[in-house]
Amino acid sequence: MKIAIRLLSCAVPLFALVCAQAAPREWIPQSDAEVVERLPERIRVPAASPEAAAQAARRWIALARTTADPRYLGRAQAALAPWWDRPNAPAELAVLQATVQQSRHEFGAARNTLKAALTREPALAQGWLTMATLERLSGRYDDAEQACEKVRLAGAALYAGACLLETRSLRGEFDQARLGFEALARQSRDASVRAWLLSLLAESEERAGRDAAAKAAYEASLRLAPDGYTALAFADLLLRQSQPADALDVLAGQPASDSVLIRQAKALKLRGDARWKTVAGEIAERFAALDARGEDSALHARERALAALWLDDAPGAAWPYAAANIELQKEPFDWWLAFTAAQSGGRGPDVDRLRSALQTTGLKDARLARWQPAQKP
Amino acid sequence: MRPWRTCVWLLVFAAGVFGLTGPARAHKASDAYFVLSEAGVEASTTGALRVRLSLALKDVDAALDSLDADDDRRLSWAEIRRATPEIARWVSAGVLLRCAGQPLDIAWAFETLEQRSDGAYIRLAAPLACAAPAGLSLDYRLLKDVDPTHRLLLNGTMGGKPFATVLAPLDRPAIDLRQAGQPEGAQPARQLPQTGFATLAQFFDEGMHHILTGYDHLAFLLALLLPVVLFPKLVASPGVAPGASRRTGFARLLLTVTGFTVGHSVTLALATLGGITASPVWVEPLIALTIAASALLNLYPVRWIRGDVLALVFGLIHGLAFSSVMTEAGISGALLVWGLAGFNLGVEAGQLAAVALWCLLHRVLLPWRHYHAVVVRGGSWALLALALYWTAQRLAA
Repeated sequence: MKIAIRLLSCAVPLFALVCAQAAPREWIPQSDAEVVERLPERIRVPAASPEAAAQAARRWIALARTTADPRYLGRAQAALAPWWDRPNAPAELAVLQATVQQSRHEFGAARNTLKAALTREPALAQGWLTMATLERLSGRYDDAEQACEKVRLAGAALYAGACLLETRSLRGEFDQARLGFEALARQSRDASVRAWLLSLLAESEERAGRDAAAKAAYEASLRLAPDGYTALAFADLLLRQSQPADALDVLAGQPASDSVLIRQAKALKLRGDARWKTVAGEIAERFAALDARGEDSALHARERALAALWLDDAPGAAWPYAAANIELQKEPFDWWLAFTAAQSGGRGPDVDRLRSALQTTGLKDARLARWQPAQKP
Repeated sequence: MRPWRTCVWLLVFAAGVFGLTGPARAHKASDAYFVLSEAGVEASTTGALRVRLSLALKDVDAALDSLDADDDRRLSWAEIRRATPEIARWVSAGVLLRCAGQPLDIAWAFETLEQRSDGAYIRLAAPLACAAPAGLSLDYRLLKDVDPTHRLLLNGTMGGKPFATVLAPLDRPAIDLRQAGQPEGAQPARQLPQTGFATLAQFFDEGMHHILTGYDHLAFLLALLLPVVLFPKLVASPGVAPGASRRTGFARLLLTVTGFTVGHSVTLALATLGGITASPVWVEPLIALTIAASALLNLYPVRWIRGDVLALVFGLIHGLAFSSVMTEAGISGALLVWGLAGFNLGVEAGQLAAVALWCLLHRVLLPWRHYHAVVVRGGSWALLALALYWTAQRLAA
């Protein structure tokens, strides 16, 4: 398989390069007034002071997030350029660098950047918070809890609390997590923070197998503050429950990231709406563009596996991506994806291997229950 | 740090963590496209070339403040037309082409707008003359301060040969385009797994991997091979193995392995070409049961059940498990037959490797007095237990 992937990863970009370059639609507008492109807000990087660079980088990161356009992560990197990968960079800038790397799924690099920064300045709450996220993502829950503890020591009690609750919820302490998240949400006055806590609660309830409670929490979170990530998670719940119409409602107005498009296509397909093929075509085009760029396909393996599984009904083709993805990230959704691709592709031994790998992380999730040893309720 | 500052900071940050983890937002980062084509059949002698460069308007805007002249962040066709000369000057300064070391003066002109997956692009084009047999080079520096992850995707034909490569303004800004047309830089389309033979090779790999990592198939093979005695003269205490005479020699081994091969080839071909389908829900536990049954028959032989026939019949079931690999690989038509052949050969090769390993082990262990009791019977009991465990596990899943 590894050899096959290597072969494919050499061959696909070349093929894609040829195809992607043949593809673009050409046009010349008829009227001077025709709007050809909508541009993002102007963000200038003034003279290179660390404060100005941090501010500009933060705005680019936010823009990358709201538009789902990763080119702005490159601009954030440009803003941070004088300090990028420098051992003496101010710790705050190093944390921003780690955030950019994390957003590009370069989790190993992000971790190294953070580790160095936190050695220099151990009281950096946001650094430890990102570290905890990375550890959770890799299924290292002990390390995540330690990072959460460091967030508390740095004086950010609310974030430390949420960090711990989320980590413990991943390990199956669902009731404690529910009480904790509810208490934190009650204490918080800021709507976006409350929305964030409710989305964590929603995910925790979903892992606990309490779908109705999860649904209510997602809805409450999105009412307080619309958020792309929460919308995606909620859409996944609705798709899992075969409610494509509601999933489409939730995703309406979201920036057209690959993740959003895949879910929209899946929902349209579930409804028997032929437009799903148009959306699927666009997704394929984007993958071809990524290949042409020569990007490591492992970084986008989650989307590729999902597209193969949901849109092409090809668990055989989904498996190499799902397997590469689970090496990169180990969130419940990634496990689900890997198990589903292996199981429906008839890969018994791979399912067995995944099963024992899952057991070593200690993750508990009702969606994965069929692949986990029976638990006490 | 003052506490309130920490809080404000964390708020901004939490929003980031909140949004940036979890589902990927792939899209793609900033790319520009460069296409080099030879103008006409005589190009190789006249050196008449044409270059095209496509740039995302969002990227041009980041480099040229004047593009969005009215600053309303909506780019109209009029604004683009007005800015075109300045865009051409900017491109000339950042895209250096040299012919035999001499800088070329290139007259970039607007060609068209393009719609790509990440937005609208402007395409400039220019004629170019460079007949020097060696030495058309490109040095690309556009956007290097705007975005260190920017890439230039080049393709085209040089000397009638297609080439494709990627430049990065910071890490790899320059390339000799004549070299790019040569074999080591060129990556012609024949390497794609689109030809029959490439498909065969690809699936050979897949098949070999499938058998060698699929420990249930190997366990089944082992269960079949355990009672076979390859070197009767080495048996320490002849007569201990019941029916050993019937199961002696390489012919028996060959028949058994071939039986398994024929069995799984038949169902694999049927599932791939004939469209029979099997749900892994029952195939997977059934495969575990075939191992259990074979192990049990080693322990309690039934006279009229022959190992090779058993291998054939149970092979049919194992083939169903392979079939999803083929049907879902997304190949079709004539390539499917190539893929099927490759996969089967791969499975065969993997199987033979496993059998060879077993022969060696068998040769070493056979003279042992307790060979039959420990290896054959003990091994069969162990396989039986393992297979029943797998069956239960797979039924529960």
